[in-house]
Amino acid sequence: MQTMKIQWDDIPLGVETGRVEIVVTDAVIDSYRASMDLDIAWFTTGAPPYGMRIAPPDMVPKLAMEPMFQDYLNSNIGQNIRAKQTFKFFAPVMVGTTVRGVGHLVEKYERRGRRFVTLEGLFTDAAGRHLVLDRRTQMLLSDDFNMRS
Amino acid sequence: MDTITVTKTATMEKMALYSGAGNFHSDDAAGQEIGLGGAIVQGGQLVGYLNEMMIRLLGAGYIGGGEISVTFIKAVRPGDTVTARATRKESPADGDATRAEFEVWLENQHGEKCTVGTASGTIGA
Repeated sequence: MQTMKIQWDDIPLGVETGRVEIVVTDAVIDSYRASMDLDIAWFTTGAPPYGMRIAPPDMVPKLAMEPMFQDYLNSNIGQNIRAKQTFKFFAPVMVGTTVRGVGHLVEKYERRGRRFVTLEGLFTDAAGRHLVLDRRTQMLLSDDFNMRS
Repeated sequence: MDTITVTKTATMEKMALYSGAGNFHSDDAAGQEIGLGGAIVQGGQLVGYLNEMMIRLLGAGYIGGGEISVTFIKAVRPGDTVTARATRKESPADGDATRAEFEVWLENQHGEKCTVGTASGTIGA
């Protein structure tokens, strides 16, 4: 197992963990659909009430996970695994949309001998309209963070 | 509102497509190395199955206006078959009659719950 680079007490709440800019294309939708065996007309050809093909609502957070959250965690804290996940889907993400996202580490806590951090990412379109909120809690796996070891 | 379920079988191929190759979501050795006992399906992929169920249930009312909050309580591994299920709550906690709220979960082929939580969306969107 890897060793943490910062101490638990020094993990900074509120720190920005990453930013992304993702262009939603037909190709990325097709790739996501293939991984999920997802066959719904809105995501394949497009269907009413939307005027065009849209992305699965959880696709952009998936594409953003590494640069927005995991690169920071792996570089600064160590291996981790998802314990909780919340999504709020505000609006459909149309193909062709440029989505911007920014992530923050918003919470850390200890429970039952384990340590957890919660990260939050908000995705918006070019006009600043909210598209998706992603809030995830990661359980830390590093020996240094495992209070039971 | 009809009950809708979504069933998927986890394969290493689909796990690698979703999570990329050479990590503990697609490689048994990588999962063993960090004490997970082998590869496990990424949480995002699991909540994606629940999202598919909710989209099939509520349609546009979930794509624009949906919420889901889940906890991962049991690992899902290659070869497992999971089914997404939902039961509708009597009334929304906030009293908003335009929304439908559900208890949602994923259960494996043994009937064991793996992911549990709640989801909601707008009715009639």
